[in-house]
Amino acid sequence: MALKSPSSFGQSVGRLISANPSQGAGLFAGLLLVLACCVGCKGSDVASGSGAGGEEEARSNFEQVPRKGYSRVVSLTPNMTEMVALLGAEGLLVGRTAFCDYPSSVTSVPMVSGGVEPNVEALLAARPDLVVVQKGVDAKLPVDSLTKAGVSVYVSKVESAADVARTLEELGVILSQPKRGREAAAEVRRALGLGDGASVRDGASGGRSGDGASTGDGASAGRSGDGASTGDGASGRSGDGASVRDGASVRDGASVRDGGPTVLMVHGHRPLVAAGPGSWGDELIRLAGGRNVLAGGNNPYPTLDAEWVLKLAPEFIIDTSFAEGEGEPADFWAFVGEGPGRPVLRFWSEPEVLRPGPRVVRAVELLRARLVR
Amino acid sequence: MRNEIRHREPVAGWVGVLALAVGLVVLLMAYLSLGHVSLTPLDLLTGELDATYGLLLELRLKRAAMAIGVGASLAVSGCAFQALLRNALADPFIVGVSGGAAVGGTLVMLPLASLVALGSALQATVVFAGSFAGALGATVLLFGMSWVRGMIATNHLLLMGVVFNFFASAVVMFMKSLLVGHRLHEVLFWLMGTLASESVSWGLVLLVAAIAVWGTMLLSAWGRGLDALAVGEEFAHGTGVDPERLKRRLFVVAALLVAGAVSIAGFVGFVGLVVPHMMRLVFGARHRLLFALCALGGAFFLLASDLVARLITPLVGTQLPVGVLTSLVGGPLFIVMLVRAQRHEVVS
Amino acid sequence: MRPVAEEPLLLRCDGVSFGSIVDEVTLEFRPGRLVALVGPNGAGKSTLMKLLSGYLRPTAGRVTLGGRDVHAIPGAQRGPLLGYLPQHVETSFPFTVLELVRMGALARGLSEREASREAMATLEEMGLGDLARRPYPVLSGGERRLTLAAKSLVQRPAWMLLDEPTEGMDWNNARKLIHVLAEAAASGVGVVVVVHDLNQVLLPHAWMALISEGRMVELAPALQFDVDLLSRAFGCRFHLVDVPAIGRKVLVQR
Repeated sequence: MALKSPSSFGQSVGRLISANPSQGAGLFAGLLLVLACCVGCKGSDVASGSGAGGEEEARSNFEQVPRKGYSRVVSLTPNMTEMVALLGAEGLLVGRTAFCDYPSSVTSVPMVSGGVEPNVEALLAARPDLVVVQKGVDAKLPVDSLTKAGVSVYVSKVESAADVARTLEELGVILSQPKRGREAAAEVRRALGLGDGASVRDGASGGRSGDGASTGDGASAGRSGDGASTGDGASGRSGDGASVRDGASVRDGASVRDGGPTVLMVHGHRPLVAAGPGSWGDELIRLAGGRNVLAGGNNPYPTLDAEWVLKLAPEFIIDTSFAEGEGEPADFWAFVGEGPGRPVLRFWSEPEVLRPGPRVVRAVELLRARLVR
Repeated sequence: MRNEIRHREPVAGWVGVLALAVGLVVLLMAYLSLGHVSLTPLDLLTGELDATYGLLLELRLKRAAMAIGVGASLAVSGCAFQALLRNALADPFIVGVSGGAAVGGTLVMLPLASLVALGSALQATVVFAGSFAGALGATVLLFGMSWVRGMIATNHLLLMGVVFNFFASAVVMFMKSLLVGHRLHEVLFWLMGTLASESVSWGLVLLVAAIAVWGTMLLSAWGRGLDALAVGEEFAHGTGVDPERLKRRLFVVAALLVAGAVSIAGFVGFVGLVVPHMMRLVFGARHRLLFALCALGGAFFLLASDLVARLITPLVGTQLPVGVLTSLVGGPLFIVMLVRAQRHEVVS
Repeated sequence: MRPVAEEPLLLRCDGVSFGSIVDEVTLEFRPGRLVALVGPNGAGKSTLMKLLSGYLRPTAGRVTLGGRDVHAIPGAQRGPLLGYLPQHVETSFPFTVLELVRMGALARGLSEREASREAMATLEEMGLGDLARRPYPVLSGGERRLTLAAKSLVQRPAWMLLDEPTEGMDWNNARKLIHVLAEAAASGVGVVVVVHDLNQVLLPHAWMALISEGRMVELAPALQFDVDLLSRAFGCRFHLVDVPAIGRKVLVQR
C-alpha cells in the first residue's frame, strides 16, 4: 500500500482516524482532558462552600422570584424535593427526578427528569407554576423561556450547610411557609453550630403572605456576625454545647479547629474518585470535626491513584461506595495495610444522606460516629 | 534519472532484543522508585517509610507487571494484524475483537451494579471474564462472516471489523445510558484505557502476561510463513506456505492477545500501531525477531507512558488514564513516521 | 541438478473448470519441458495458473500432480515440489531483495544460514548483487520481477509455474530469464510460463499451449505451432518468418 502522492498523506491520516475510531477518539479526548485539567489547575473559581462572608454573586435568585401563591411545583434535584417536603409543601409537587426518593411518599409524584437532564416536554406537560432547582442543573433548563411563559424558577447554590439553611428559609418564604422555613433553617444552624449567616431579607415584592412575621424581627442581632440565632427561642450559639449531640468537638462553621482527625472520603474505586475542597464531602468532614487530607488541592473531585492515598496517609478513610456489613471490599483496600498507624477504613453508603439537603444534620452525626477509633 | 533513496541498514535484530531488554530492566527500576513518593534503597534504612515501602513496592510492581503484559500484548497483536491484513495501518482494535470486548465487559457491569456484595477482586475478575468472552464471541462472528469459499477474505475481515466496531460502540453507548453514577464512571474510565491495578488480582495480571509470552513465542515460530504471507497470499502459496491455515492461526492468537489486554486495561491506544512500525523501520520486516522486538518495545512504551502519567498526577491534581498519554505521544509520533515513510517511498 | 524421478511427476488437468473463466480444460504437462501458456487477454491464463498451483480449487474436474490433488498438498511439501509466482506481488513492508529471495530457499527446507548464502549466490549469478539490500517497495517494476524470478530459481522446485515473469523487464533481461528457465527445463524441471511476447518462447525445445476464452485450443511445440490457430485466437494475422541472419524464426503480425 504505497503512498502515491502528497495529497494522499491527508487521505492516509484520514484513513487512520476513521479506521481507528477508538484511537482518534482517544487522541481527541486526551486533548480535551489535558485542556480541562489546565483550566482546572488555574483553579481559582472553587466554591468555598461557606455562606458566611461577602460573596460578590448572589447564591440564589431569591430576590427575583415573584411572591405569590404557588400550587404546582416541580423539583429538579433530589435535595430540593426533600426541602419542599420538609416544609410541608409535598402536596404541591407535580414533578420530580428519578433520584428523588425521600420521603418515600414522593415516589408517587410523576418523574420529569432522569437525573441530570430534565425532560423539558415532560416538565411543561406537568404545567408547573414554580420550578425549584439547584445551581448547576439549571444550565440545562430554558430558564428565560419558562419565565416568559409565566413559570417562576427558583435557583439556589447549595454547596454548604449554610446554603442548606438559607435555601430552607428562602423556600419557606416562596412556598408560603415562612415560619416552618425559619424553624427548619434554625434547626440546621443550631445543630451544626453555624453562625447566623446572612439572614433572609424580604426585599422582593413588598407584602408577604403567611403569618406576617418577617425573618428580620425578633432578632435584632439577626444580622451576620454576632451569632444570635434567628427568631424563636433557640438556645443560642455554638459555644454552650446544647446544640451538639455527640460530645465530639464543637466548632462554628467557618473555622477549622486543629486536632481533628485527618479524613479521606472516597466515592468510587474505579476510578478512585475522592472528595476534594469544594465538594459536599469536604463540607461534611469539616462539620464533623475532621480535616480533609485533600484540603490543599483545587479539584473538587480528583481521581487519585493508590500511591497517592498512601502518601496522604489519612487517619480515616470513608468509603462511600459500600455499606457496612455488605461484604466490604477489604481486598481493594489491601494496599493500604493493616494495624496500628495504618488508616482506619469506614464504609458508609447512604447516598441519600450525602446529598446537600436537609438531612445534613444526620449526615454529620453519622460521620462523627465513624470518626472515632 | 533514478531517485537516490537512502534507506537505513536494518540493525541486527538480536542487538535490538538485547538493548530493549536491558532498557526495560532499567526503566522498571526507575518505575519502581519514582512516583508520589520517591523510593531509594536508603529509605529502607531510615525506617520512616518502612511500612509504606513494602506496600508501595507491591502496588508499583503489580502495576508494572500489568503495563508490561498489556504493552507486549498490544504491540504483538498489532504486528500480527498488520501481517494478516497486509496493511501497516492496522492496529489491534481494527478487527472488531476489541469492540466485542467492550460490549462484553459493559454488559457484565449492568447486573454487577446490584451485586455490590462481591469483593472487588471478584468483581474485576467477572468483568474480565465478560470482556474476554465478548472478544471471543466477536472473533468467532467475524471469522464466520469473512469466510468465503473456504478462505478468509482479508478485505472482508477489515471491513466487517470496522463496521462491527461502530456497531459495538453504539451498543456500549446505549448500555452506558442505562448505567448511572458510579458505574457509569467506571465504564468510561475503563474504556479510556487504564492501568489502575488496585482492584485487579495478581492472578489476572499474570494471566495476561502469560498470554503475551505464549503469543509472542508462537507467532515467532511461525515467522517464516508470516514473512511470505506479508508479501502476498498467492506469493506465500507459491513459496511453500499455506496462507489459509496461517491466517486462521494468526487471527486466533492475535485475537486472544487483544482480548487479554483489553479485558484488563481497556482501550490503550496507539501502542499496537506505533510500536510495530518503529520496530520495522529500525530492525527490518522479518517476523522471526519482530514479535520479540514488539513485545519488548510495547512493554517499554507503555511502562514509560504510565510512569509519566503517574508523575504528572500531582501536577494535574487528578489521575490521567494512561490511554490518554499513549494517544498524545503516539499520535504525533505516528504522523512523523508517516511523513518520513512518504519521503522514502516511490510511486509504484 | 535434480535427478529425474523414476516415475515422472506429471501435472495434469482433467476437465478442469472454474466458473465461466476456465472451461473444461484437459492438459498434461511433462517435467523436463518448458510450456508457454499463451492467449489473448482475459482468456483465463492467470486463473489456470492459480488452479495449477493449487491456490484455487476448480469448480469441476481435478488438477493433479503425480496423481495427487494439488490443492491437498500441504505447504511444507509443496515448497520443493511446486513453485508458483503470481502476476502481481505488491507489498509495502520493507523486505529487502535478499530477504525475499531467501524465502524461496527456505521453502526448499534449508537452514537460515544456507538460505542466505544460496540466495546471495543466485543474486550474484543474475547480476543483481547490488540490489540485495534494497527494500522491495522502492524497486522499479522490472527490478521487482527480477527479484521474484531469483526467488523462484533459488527455490528449485520440481515444477515452476510463473505468471508473466518477464513483465516490465527490459528485452535483454527477459531473454536471459527465459534462457535460464529453458536450461532448467532441460535439466528436468517442469516449467510453465505465461508470456505475452510469443517470440520470447520460440525456442527449439519449448512448447506452447494456446488458451482462448477459457478453453484449451492446442498444445504443440512452439516452432511447429499452427499460426492460423494463433491468428484466430488473437484476432490478427500472424506470420512465422525465418531470419537466417540470426538463425531463428520470428513471429510477426500484419
